[in-house]
Formats: sequence, C-alpha cells, structure tokens
Amino acid sequence: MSKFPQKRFYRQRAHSNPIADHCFTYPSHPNEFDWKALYPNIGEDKVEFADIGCGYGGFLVTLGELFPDKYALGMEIRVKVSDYVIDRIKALRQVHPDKYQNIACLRTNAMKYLPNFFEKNQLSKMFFMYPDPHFKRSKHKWRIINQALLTEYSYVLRQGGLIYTITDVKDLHEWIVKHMEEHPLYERLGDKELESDIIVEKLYETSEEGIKVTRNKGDKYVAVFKRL
Amino acid sequence: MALLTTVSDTILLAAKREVKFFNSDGTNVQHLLLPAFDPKNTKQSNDIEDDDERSEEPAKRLISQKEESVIQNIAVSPNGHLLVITTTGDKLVYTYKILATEKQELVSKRTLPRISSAIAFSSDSKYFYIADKTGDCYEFSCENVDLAGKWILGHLSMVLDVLATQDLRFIITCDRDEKIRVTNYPATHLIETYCLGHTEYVSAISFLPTNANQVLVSVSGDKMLKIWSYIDGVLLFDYALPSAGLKMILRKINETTSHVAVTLYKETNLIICEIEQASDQTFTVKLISEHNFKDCKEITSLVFENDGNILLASVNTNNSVDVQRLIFTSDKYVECDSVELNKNLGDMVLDLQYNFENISMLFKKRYDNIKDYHERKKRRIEDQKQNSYNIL
Repeated sequence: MSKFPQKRFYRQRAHSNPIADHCFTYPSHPNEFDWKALYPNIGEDKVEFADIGCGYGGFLVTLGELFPDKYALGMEIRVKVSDYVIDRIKALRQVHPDKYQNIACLRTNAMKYLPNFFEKNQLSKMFFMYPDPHFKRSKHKWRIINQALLTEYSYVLRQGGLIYTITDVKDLHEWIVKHMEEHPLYERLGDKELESDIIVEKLYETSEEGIKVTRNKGDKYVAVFKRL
Repeated sequence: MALLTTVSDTILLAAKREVKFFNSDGTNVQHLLLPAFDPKNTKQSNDIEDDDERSEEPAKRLISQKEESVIQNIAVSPNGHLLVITTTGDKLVYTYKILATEKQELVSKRTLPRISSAIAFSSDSKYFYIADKTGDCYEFSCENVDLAGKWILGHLSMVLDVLATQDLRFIITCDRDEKIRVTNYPATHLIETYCLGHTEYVSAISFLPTNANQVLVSVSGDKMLKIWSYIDGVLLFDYALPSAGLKMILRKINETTSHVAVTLYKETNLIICEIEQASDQTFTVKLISEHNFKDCKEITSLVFENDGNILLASVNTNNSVDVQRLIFTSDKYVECDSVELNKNLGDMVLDLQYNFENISMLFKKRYDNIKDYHERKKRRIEDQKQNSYNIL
C-alpha cells in the first residue's frame, strides 16, 4: 500500500468564506510560533516563501525542490485540502529523508492572520495561484487581491520581494493587474524579466489546478509584481 | 445607544435622534434634533445580496432595522468648533458647527457606505476619521465639508476603534481579530507595525495622557488592559481585568500618573485604575475602585468631566437612559445620587425594540470542524487496513 495520501479522500468544494470565524489556531504574535514543529531543521532561519491558498501543494513541493536552502510555507484554508498537503509532505519526507525538510503546510486564513505568523519584511516571495475567482459582485471583497489586502501583504513582503499570480479566469487576471497597478507599492514585471525567472515556467505546470487547466486546453494568465 | 461627550463645561448626551446640551447639574438643557429621517434613504444597494452562505458577519446581524435610523456615534473636534454625528439606518454623517451651547448650525450631510463604529478627529481639527463595521476607515475633511469620505485603509474584520496620533504621522485602528494596527498617515498604504498580543477583540484604544506621543493603552475581550510602545509594537505592560473590557477613558492626574476607567462585560460594570509611569518606561497599575450600578443593563458611554468626575450614560431595565456621576475626591471615585440630574434632563426612553449592541458577537465563535474530520479520517484508515488484511 502506498504511503502517499490519495487525493480522492481529501476532495472539498473550492470555495470558503474568508470573513467567517473558523476554528483556527494561530499565534497572537510571530514570536510565539513554534516553527520547529513544521521544519525540524529550521534552526534560526526563517520562512521566506509563502504560497497563499496552496491547494493540494503541487507547486509547494516544486518550490522545495527548486530552492533547497529556502523555507516555504503553504497556507490553505480548507480542512481536508490542507490535511492532504500535510500528509503528502510527511510521506515525501519518509521516502526521501534528506529532502523536503524545507516545506510545510498550515491550515489558516492568510487574508487575516499573516502578521500573526510573519514579521515585517520577512517574506521575499508570495504566490497566489488559481485563487478563488468569487465571480459574484457581492463577493469581490473576498478576493485575495484588493487594495486593503495588498497593504497587508506589503507589510510582510520586503522591498524588492515578488508576488506571483496565475489564474485561468481572464476577468480575475484583469482585476488582479488593475488592483496591483493601482497600489503605490507594486510594479508589474515585464516579459523580459519573467523570462529570466525560473519560477515562472513552473507556475504553468506544477500545481494541480494548472495541470487540470492544461488538460482542458484552457488559457493561463501570469502576472508578477515587485514590492517597491 | 446613549452617548456622552463634552465641550468645555457643557455636556452632550445623544440618544435616538436627539442631542441634549446641558450644564453639569443638568440645567439649561438645549436640544438638537437631527433632520427628519426618510426611510427611502436607507440604501439597499450597499447591502450584500447574500445567498447561500450563512451570514457570519456580525455587522450584518446588528443592522436589522431599516425602518429607523438613530445616532450611532458622536464626536466633538479638539478645538470644540465641530460636532460630528453618524446615524444607523440612512448611514449619514452630519457635521454641525457649534456656535454656542444653544446654537448649532448644520454645515454638511455626507454618506457612509456602512454603519460606523468609531470617530476620531485629527489633533488640528482639520479632519476626522470614521471606522466602520466591515473594517474600512474613511477620512473626512472639516474644511471642505462637501467632500465625500475618502477610503484610507481596510481591515478584514470589524474595526472597533480609531485614533490619529498627535503628530498626525499615524492612524491607529483596532479590530475584532485581536489586532491593533499602526498605519502611516497620510501614506496609509504603508503599515508601520502591529501591536499583537491580545487574544480576543480589541474594543478600545487611547493614548496614555502622560506620554501620548509614544504610549498606547488598549482593552480587550481577553480581560487584559495592555500598554504598548506603538511606534514599534512592543508590549510594555499588561494588567488583568476582572472581566472582558469594552470602553475606556483616560485622564492625566499629574506628570506621571493617569487614571483609567474601563467598562466591563458582565459581572462588574466599571473598574477604575491608576497608571503610574516611571521615567524608564516601566509601569505600575493599581486598582482604585470597582462599581456596579443597580438596574443597569449596559453602560453605553462614559466621559471624564473637567473637574475629574466621571459621567456615565447607561440603559436601565426600563429601557430609559440614566446618567450617573462618580465624584472624584482625593484618589477616590464616589457614586453619588443622580436623581436630581436625571430629573433635570427629562426622560429619554428608548424604544422597546431598542437593539443593544450585541456584545457577545464580538467574541469569536470557536466551532471545531477539525476534530470530526480527524475522527472520520482515522476510521477510514483503520477500515482500509482491515480491508487489506482481509484480502491477504
């Protein structure tokens, strides 16, 4: 029997209310969080990459492989989905004891609790991959990118840090670009800069959502922004 | 809601759609009535057309009465020239010029997208800031009174109090998600820091009068009063309250001593303490007195008077507004008979359907959806094991 978790036991609807109270445990201050429980070897190092809404963790695993000396945290609000990622990383570590020590997943509401986990300027990269489009107009304020949230992200993201976004929903892509460009602290990177970034090509292929969209021959829209 | 504030020696008491101006003994009462409320002005468009999701937002549940509109918040500018009043149903912001105790002039009527939760003025009386129950904060000009409110910042949770620092470099806000946020001003897209450590809603924040440029005091549902260096978010001191904190007022007694009065949720109504600041940013907090008021359902507002007395407005069991004074005499606050004062003020009976701010809503509802899941998962894994043995 495979050690790896089977996804069919962890399926969950794609939407979650980010404003509602959920049962979360989160530190009241970043100093109070025990990072060694997630990364036994972290020592005095700190998490630098955050995959916000990491889904089933495909991209998170790739990040861990691409940057073996950086710590990456996947944050996912859905109970079963985050548990899948946790079990998947546990299985990966068992099979490859010297690898995957630098990735972990937490069930939390990243829209609300980023400052509870991360200090000011702690992160160098944030990823928003296939975020919930919340198509209804009344739910637009639940979208993971808006003016108020961009200000919150710029608190944990250091100057020069990057925000990567990808979606298969054109309307959401336009929304993201519009809000990022309106915010005084972000600047969109041009195609040339994207070409030289090894992460960008991985964005297209390594998350489960990405593979599904490719299978369906859908379009994918990538936009990357620098924190000024 | 019954709200209190002062303009020099005059006391203002607001309830329903009326503000009473009076002398400290309750005499010379002047009335200010808001213009008639037109229910057609209650904007449905801003309400969320909610559907499948259970409405989890406390703000939405608090606002049930579209057919009426009462005073929600009031504030007087530091220079005493302006009175700002916000309302519930039509969500308006009224600005009055205070020409004299008996004469106020309505200078503007502006709109809010959502019901307000707090108002703060800038120290120069040129702006005021309104926080709302969905977490947004708006800047309003006092000079250009027709200018609409400008959005300056947003929380993902109900903002419960707002302050502007004396030097106007920062706006400080606190929310139902245990956070105090220090935001640069006017560059509000830059968060300076958070003061983190509370574990329940933070309902009130104030500057410590003996060191207002550096030190912030907060009260929370976690039964703590905390003292912060707000520039860097460092906790300097905390003090355990007998019950969850709600509202707070502070007054400077001398160069190192302040008094703080905090209204509490359940059990005790009010606690008064002394905060002593040593030169090296160390603090001691000492209990002065605790108070319970008969027939009091809820203290809705409190204010220090110029002479150091404390005035409280409460709603009693008959749904009428009571005003109660605590007289300050050499380090003691003594409850005094306020019958005469209330008689002079005249009855202020709130409607029977008067909605109390549902304070329990401020606490997080911690329902556990994790335990069930893990139990189901454990069973599934055991079943799987069982099945694989059977196959063998």
